[in-house]
Amino acid sequence: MRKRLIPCIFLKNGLIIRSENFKIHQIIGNPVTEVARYNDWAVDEIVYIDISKDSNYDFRRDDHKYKDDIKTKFDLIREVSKVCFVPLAFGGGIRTIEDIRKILHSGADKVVLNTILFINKNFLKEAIAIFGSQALVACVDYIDNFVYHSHSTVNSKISVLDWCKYLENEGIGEIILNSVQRDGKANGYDIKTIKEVVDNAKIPIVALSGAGDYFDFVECFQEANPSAVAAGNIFHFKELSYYHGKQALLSSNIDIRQELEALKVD
Amino acid sequence: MIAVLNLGISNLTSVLNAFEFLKIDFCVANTPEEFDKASKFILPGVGSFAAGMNALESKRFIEPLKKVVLEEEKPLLGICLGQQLLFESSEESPGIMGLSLIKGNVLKLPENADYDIPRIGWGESVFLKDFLGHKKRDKADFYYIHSFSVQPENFDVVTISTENINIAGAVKQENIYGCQFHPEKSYNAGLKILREFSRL
Repeated sequence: MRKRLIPCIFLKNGLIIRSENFKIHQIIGNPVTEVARYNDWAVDEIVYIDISKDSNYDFRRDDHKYKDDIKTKFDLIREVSKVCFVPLAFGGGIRTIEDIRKILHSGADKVVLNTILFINKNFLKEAIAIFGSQALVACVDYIDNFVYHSHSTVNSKISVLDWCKYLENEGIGEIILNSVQRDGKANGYDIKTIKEVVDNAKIPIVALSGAGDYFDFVECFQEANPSAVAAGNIFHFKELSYYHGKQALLSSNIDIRQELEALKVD
Repeated sequence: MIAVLNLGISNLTSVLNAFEFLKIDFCVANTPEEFDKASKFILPGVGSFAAGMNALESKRFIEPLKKVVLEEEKPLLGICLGQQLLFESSEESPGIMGLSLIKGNVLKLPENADYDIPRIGWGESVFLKDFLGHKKRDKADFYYIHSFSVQPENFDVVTISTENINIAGAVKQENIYGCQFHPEKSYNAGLKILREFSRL
């Protein structure tokens, strides 16, 4: 299986933001036009995380790139998935089985779960029975080896490894491992924790947070060997960053998918 | 017109989005009566083998589907679980009989250092034969997400081999096609398969 390089897009009230330590949020773009850009780059997969604390979607009606009929996150997923022919995962604020059904029905392929897994310990089993493991991804936010939830404000006091083992036993399909302290810091991935989890898990692990340059991708794969490496800010701020990221991985002999052509209609 | 069978156990949005994008004429078949207007059939699906067969049965799809495929020789493409349902049985759901259109069984993926289980991601795939727009010996990457894979009795039906342990990425037996990967989520290489299937 190829190693994956995944752009992760953070949304707040309908707009793309740059995140740092989960606290500083700078608005940087439009989620629908952004996905067209990622399609041209032939990315391996796209992860959207909605970090809104309420459901007020600000779709900037004065911006002509916005369509008038996008009012909720479901509308957004529907628009994005129409032009997204690689896997699309969506997470943030999921509390019910019906939420998952609506997100998948709108066109996402997987949902990303976090806080609900702490609120309702039966939720994952229930969701797996209906949607299957392959549609369910857990995002594990951690600070100093402890897993946090509710926008990283609540310490669960469970260690990263214990929580990941628990999720794997329960049947989760994949785990996104997210170091809150490295969010937006661009000082490299948390190799030690990622490696510890990868070495102890049989399911795919996705590393997130910390990429400052393309060499951080290479280092993460070489040192910790996750299934995929994900990043946010680096893909927003550097021109052709996805392409250059892939080139860096290729020249270090990381087994990745190479796709050179933009999406073709015919 | 391509009929996409709605089993009601998984969402069809990604497949339908691909057809919209490719401007391919399709309908969603909720009842077997809707098979009449179609010249080709797509059997999509995620979920367990038993859930898939139960849905086919409760929708009364099994016999009408066999009729259009075997007697009328209309093309059928099974995607992911849809490919597995073409076979006789699965280790995932012992005692449940599949559509049995192709001889063989579905087995749990063996553990292997090259992938985790579920096996998720882009798998380098080698074409053993010409298959829906791709030529023999071509290589392409497709998006796979599965824990089980088909083991045909006659290896000759396998058209794509992936990983060094020969997972059957795709199969073809006359007018019956199957893909373990998701063509609708495999960018250009996958969309090409759907486009060519629509042109059969």
